Amino acid sequence: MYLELNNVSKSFPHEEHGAWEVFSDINLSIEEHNFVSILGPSGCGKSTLLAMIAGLESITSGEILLEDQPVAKPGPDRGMVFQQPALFPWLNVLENVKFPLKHLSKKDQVTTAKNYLQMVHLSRFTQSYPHELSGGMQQRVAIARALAMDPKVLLMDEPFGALDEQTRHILHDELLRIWSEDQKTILFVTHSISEAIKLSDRIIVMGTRPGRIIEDLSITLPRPRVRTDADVIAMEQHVMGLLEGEINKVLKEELQ
Amino acid sequence: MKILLKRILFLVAVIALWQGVYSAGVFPEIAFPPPVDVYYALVEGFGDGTLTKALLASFKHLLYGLPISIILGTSIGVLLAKSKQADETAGMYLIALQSIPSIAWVPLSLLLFGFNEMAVIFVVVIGGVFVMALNTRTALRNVPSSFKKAARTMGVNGLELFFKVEIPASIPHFMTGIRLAWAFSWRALMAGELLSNGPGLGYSLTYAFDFARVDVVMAIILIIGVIGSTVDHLVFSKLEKTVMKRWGLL
Ligand SMILES: Nc1ncnc2c1ncn2[C@@H]1O[C@H](COP(=O)(O)OP(=O)(O)O)[C@@H](O)[C@H]1O
Ligand SMILES: [Mg+2]
Repeated sequence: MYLELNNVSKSFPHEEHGAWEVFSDINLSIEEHNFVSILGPSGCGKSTLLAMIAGLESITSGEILLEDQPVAKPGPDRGMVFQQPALFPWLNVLENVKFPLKHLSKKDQVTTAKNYLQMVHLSRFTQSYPHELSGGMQQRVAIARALAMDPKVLLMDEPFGALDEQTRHILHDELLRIWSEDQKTILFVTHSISEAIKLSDRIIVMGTRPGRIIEDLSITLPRPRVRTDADVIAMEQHVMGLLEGEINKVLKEELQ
Repeated sequence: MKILLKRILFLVAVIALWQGVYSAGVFPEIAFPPPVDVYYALVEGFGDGTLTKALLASFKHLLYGLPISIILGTSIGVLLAKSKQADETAGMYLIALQSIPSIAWVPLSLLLFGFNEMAVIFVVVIGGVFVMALNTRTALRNVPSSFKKAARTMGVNGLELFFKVEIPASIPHFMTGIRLAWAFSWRALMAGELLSNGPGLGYSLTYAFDFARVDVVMAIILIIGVIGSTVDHLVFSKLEKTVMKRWGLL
């Protein structure tokens, strides 16, 4: 298996209880070139799980293997895109995309960065600074930056969550196009059911308190998937049903 | 343009009021000169070079003192931001030290270094160092964690992370620190020179006072204010704004 999570648990230190367990015994196998979404209510541990795969968070117990190599710290084999583009404002677009490429020659850095900027349709903005770009454009630069490292997996944590609806749809299409060109393995965290269904080959549905996987869905519907399509609607209803109980659980706790 | 006009009109009004107070004889002539006397004091001072010389001496003190206070303050700030131990131990005292007006350091400085320019430079350094340290500490602490996380996923950590991400990300706050260090150092400079044996603008002020030249006293107060604000406006505020804009903070 390409990316494998074996009995992975995560606890954070907690003042009262000593430790606060976000989830335990997560088992997951992900195949190469797959577009997999992790879907779940907020607080179920999606970001934490992704950060553990990225190597940003420690693994409390269990193991994460990428091509049979255990993951311990961040590395260029895993690219990550966050909800905030996190571009460096003191660097222009080209320099931002070059940032992770220091292992290449100067010339190759520029060629590679330009290639990926072309892929996200930002060739005209190589010399612009992040503050001169719209939120959607910034996020495209962030995607180009992550892809430029040529990672084995692209980890995306609600990458379009801060964008307006219109821009989000445009970026969905772009991401699908890039994915079909680049053949990356993508792990995509979202709390939007329609986003997960529109994009993925497979949806891992997570529940909360305690965090766990409640369903593992394959989607074989042909792309592009339209929201009004009967099969898509049926799928949405199904996932909605799965999550309803989980969301109520969160609400109840928050209202207490 | 409209703003400039308003400001000029305001200045004219202030001078008119000043003239009015003088003409009404509210204060004795020896304590309160008319605007025109101050104007002539300025012309005379720059004409015979005494004010120019004093000004150059003051700038020399700053030229030594300000860079030292910036370098020293930055080092302290980095240490406090990066070492929890250091911050818990000494961080609190920094605010205490910052709250001491710089003129309070002058007697100590004179005792330590004697009546010479070293004493003045010491006061300038003390004047700027704490605010610089505080701002550097804030700058480094406020580096968005998203920058650090993103950099780490790109294989950058440790010293490389510090130099390639944390330092550049800190520059806006750091520039604020430099601007404030200038402002505090300038005030400290005047305090130091006031009690020194010269040369310097502050010393010229005491000198004019000793000879009851109230027109010169007023002229020097004007120069101090004009230079303080002009340098802030033309150099440090401008730099800070440029940086803020680029960093997307404006
Ligand atoms: N650094 C941390 N320290 C303590 N608790 C944390 C930390 N990060 C996340 N958590 C907790 O872990 C749980 C899952 O968080 P997160 O992974 O962000 O959820 P999601 O991304 O699904 O919304 C939440 O209850 C959150 O409060
Ligand atoms: Mg999250």
